[in-house]
Amino acid sequence: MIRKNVAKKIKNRFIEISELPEELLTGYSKMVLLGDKEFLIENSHGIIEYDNNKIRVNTLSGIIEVLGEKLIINEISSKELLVKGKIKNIGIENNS
Amino acid sequence: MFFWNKIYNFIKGYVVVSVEGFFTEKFTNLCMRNNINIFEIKRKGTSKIIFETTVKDYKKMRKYAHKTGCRIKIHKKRGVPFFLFRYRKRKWFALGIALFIMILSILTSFIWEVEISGNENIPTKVLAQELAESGLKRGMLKFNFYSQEVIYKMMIKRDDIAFMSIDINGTKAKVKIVEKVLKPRGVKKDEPCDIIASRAGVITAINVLSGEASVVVGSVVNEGDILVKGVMSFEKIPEETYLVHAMAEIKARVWYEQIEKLKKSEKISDEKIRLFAYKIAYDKIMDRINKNAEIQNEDVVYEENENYIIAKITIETIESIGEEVS
Repeated sequence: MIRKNVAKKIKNRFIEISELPEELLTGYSKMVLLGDKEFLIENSHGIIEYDNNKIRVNTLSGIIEVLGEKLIINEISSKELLVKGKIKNIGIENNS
Repeated sequence: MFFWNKIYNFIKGYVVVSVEGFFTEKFTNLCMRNNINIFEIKRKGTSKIIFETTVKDYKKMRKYAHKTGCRIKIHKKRGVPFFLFRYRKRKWFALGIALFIMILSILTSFIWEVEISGNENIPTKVLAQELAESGLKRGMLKFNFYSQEVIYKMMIKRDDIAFMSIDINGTKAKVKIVEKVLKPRGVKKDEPCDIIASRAGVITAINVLSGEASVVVGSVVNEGDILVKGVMSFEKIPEETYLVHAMAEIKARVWYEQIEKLKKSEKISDEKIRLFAYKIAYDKIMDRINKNAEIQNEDVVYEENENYIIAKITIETIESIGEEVS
């Protein structure tokens, strides 16, 4: 257990020092919001719920909920998920 | 990124698919895991989604649809391959359009007309020929042509062009020329000179302002003979002379002659051939005569051979023939 913690600390230090893109190493999802019309999620783990007004996406850090109007999932691939439409609210439900 | 994807998909062809079932989210997640790309997901009703995907991926995803218990259906087929398939019976029509565009583009890549403007003294025919020699002629390819090069070549060839430009408008090359104004020939007013005859003739009037006349009225002169010497002697010492700028007004009777020989023909009457010969000879002779000459007499004589008709025009003029030569 202690060893695991030490390994994690070393990893974090390494990431901090090397300034490499963190999402590639840790698997965190990176989200880019363009105004209120485009929302890009990288490293998503899948859609949980999809509706015209509500999209719930699973990621490493929890479930991300996007509320809005006329939401369209423009593209899905194993890496990225692009949501288009009028976005009103974005929230994160931590699973811990 | 997405934009290029879309164009790529359009060329490769894509299908609009509708999936109906309770677990459409599960289905999309499965697709995502298995590297199947899905675009433009829209929800239609509570249990139906519509999205776009490539043909290849559609074949792959049917399996997952059955796994999650969804009904999958092709809604529309879009893109170039489907379009071609639909209109496969009209391929000759498409070929015709392509041929038309090709012919049009080929024909417009030639220069079909050379328009020369701005020349006053240089004949257009001469210019056109020299342009053709330096690389601008009718029927040549447009992208084979470098206007600057042609302009340089022309400028080197001809000294009497001051400015030249070539614009290409469509299939027409517009050549604009500005001629140099040449320096007037002759001698400066304060330099000593003689006056010689520019044409052969008989002197009819001579009026010397300065210099010493060497001919009198009635004397016959040849071309190049000295008429007035630019020499003056002092009144008191006639042996001593000094040079002056000779000035004189000299008029002479000059004859011009032009002979034109034309072949006889059975089809055309002799009268017409005579008329032709006369016209040709007249045009030629009028080119030679000075503009300030006063025409005194015109005479035409026709002679006939077995084969030829000969027209002989003689024109008698009175004109000033003095030319200053240093």
